[in-house]
Amino acid sequence: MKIKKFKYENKNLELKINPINFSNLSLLVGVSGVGKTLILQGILDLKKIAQGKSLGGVEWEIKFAIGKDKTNYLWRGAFEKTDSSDSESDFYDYLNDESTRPKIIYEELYFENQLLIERKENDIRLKGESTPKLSSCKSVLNLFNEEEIISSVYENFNKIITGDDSNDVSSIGIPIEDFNKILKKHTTMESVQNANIPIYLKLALAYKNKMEVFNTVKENFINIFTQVEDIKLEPLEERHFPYFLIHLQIKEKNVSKWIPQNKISSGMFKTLMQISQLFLCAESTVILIDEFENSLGINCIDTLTETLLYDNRNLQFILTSHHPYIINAIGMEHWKIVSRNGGVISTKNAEDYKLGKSRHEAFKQLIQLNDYRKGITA
Amino acid sequence: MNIYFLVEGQSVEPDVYPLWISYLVPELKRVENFDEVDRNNYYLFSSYGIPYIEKDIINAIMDINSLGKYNYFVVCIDADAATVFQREAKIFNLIKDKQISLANNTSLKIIVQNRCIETWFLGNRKVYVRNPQRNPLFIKYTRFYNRISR
Repeated sequence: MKIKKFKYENKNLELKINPINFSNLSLLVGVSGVGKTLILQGILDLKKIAQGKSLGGVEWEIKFAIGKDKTNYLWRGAFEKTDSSDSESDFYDYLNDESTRPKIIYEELYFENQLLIERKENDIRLKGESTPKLSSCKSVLNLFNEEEIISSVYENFNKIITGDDSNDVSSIGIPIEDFNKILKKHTTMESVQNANIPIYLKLALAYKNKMEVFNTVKENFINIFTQVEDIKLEPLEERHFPYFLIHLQIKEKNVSKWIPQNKISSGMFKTLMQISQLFLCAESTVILIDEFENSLGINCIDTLTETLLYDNRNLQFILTSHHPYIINAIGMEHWKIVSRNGGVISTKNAEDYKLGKSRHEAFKQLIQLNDYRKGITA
Repeated sequence: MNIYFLVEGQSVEPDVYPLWISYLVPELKRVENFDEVDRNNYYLFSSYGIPYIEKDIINAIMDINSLGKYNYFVVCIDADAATVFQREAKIFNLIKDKQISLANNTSLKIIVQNRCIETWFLGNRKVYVRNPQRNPLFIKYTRFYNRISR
C-alpha cells in the first residue's frame, strides 16, 4: 500500500492534521513537540479503525494506492465525539458493549473515484445495495473484510507497521512441534514475508530454511558491524527443552567462540532486527519509524537508503528525526517540515521554502527557517 | 546595498541583529533565502555554535560569490576566552588555508562580540544596573564580562 494523502482530525483531543502528501519516503522534520509523532499515531489510528476499533472524535480522509496496478482508493469517515479526552479506550473492548462505544457518523470508500461503500450512521450501501443492519461502531473495512473488493484494502491496512514492532522478541521459545510446523509451512521467501509472525521468528525461518534473504540480512549486518564474521540462530546445544529456543549467536573475527544472544549488545541486536524488518516484511508494507536515530540508528542509514533506492518491493517509509546526520543524509525532496499552530499541525515541503540552492549543508538550511525555529505557535 | 550576515548563535543573534538593523538601517529589508537579495536587502544565516561556523564561512563565501550581489559579508562571532585579534586572525587564516576568496565586489567585515553578545547587554542600563549585587561571585563575573569598565 502507498499512502498518498492523509488528513486527520481528533475532536476529542482538539487536534487537526492538515492534508499531507506522502511519497515512497517521507522524513518528518521539526522541533520537539511540533507533532511529528502525532502524525504517525494518526496513521496508526486508521489501521486500528480498519481492524474494528472505534475511536471517538476521529475524522479522517486517506488516499492510497494498492497493488502492482496501483489502484487508487479514498477512504474517509468520522466517529462521533465523546466526552473522553482519549479517543481510544480498551475498556469498551473489555466490556464488549456496543452501546458505550463511539459510533460512526459517516463513512465512504471510493475505488478509482467510484463510490464502493457509503454509510450514513447505520445505513450502509455496498455498491448501491443496502446491507443488513451491522455494528454501528465498526468500520466497513472491518465489517466487510471478507468481501473480495474490500479484503485487499483491509489486508493492506494491516501492513502498516512501526519500527518498534521489530523489537518484539517475545516469542523466543516455541514448542518444537509448532516450530517445525511453521518451518514446513513457510518454505519460500514470500511466504515468510507475508507471515503474520514476529520478525525474530521470520529471521529464524529464513535461517533454518537456508533462504538467500538470510544472507542478504547477514551481509548488510556485517557491512555495519565489520568485526562480525557470521550469525546463526540455533538452540544452545547443551540444553534440551521441549521448546525450540531460538538463540541468535554471533561469530566475531579473532574470537573462537560464538557469542550468545544475551552477550550481544542491545544496539547490535536492535540493528539486526531492523535490517531483518527491511528485508522480511511483506511487500507493500508501510513502515513508520519514530525518531529514526533512536530506532534504526545512524549506522543503518546507508543500508536503508540503499534498500530504498533498489527497492522493488513497493515499501513506503514515513520517518521522523531531529538528527542532523539523518536529515543531511536523506535528500530534502523527501522532507516534510512540520509546524503547529495550537492544535493544528501542518507540513510543507522544502521546495515551498525554496531550499536547496545554497552550498550550506541541508540541515543548516532547514534550521534557518522561521517555521522550524519557531515551529510551535499558540 | 546588500549584506550577508553570518551569526554564530542560534537564539540571541537571530533575534537581536534583525531588531537592531530595523532601528539603525530601516531601509534594509530581510530576505528568507540568500539568493533573494536585490537592492537594500540582507540575509541572516545562523551557525548554531562555534564548532560549525568555520565550515559555514566557506559555504557562505561560495553562495555569495555565486550570486555576486552582496556588498558586505559580515561575520558575527563571540570572542569568548580569546582576544578580538585572535578571533579575526583565525577567520583570515581559515579563508587563506581553504584558498578561497570573496569576489571583488564584496567586503568582509568581522564583528567580534567581546566577550560574547550577551556582554553587550551589560551596557544597557535598563537591563543591568552598575552594581546590582554584593554577591562576590557575581562581582567576579561582572569584572570578566563587562568590557566597558576596562
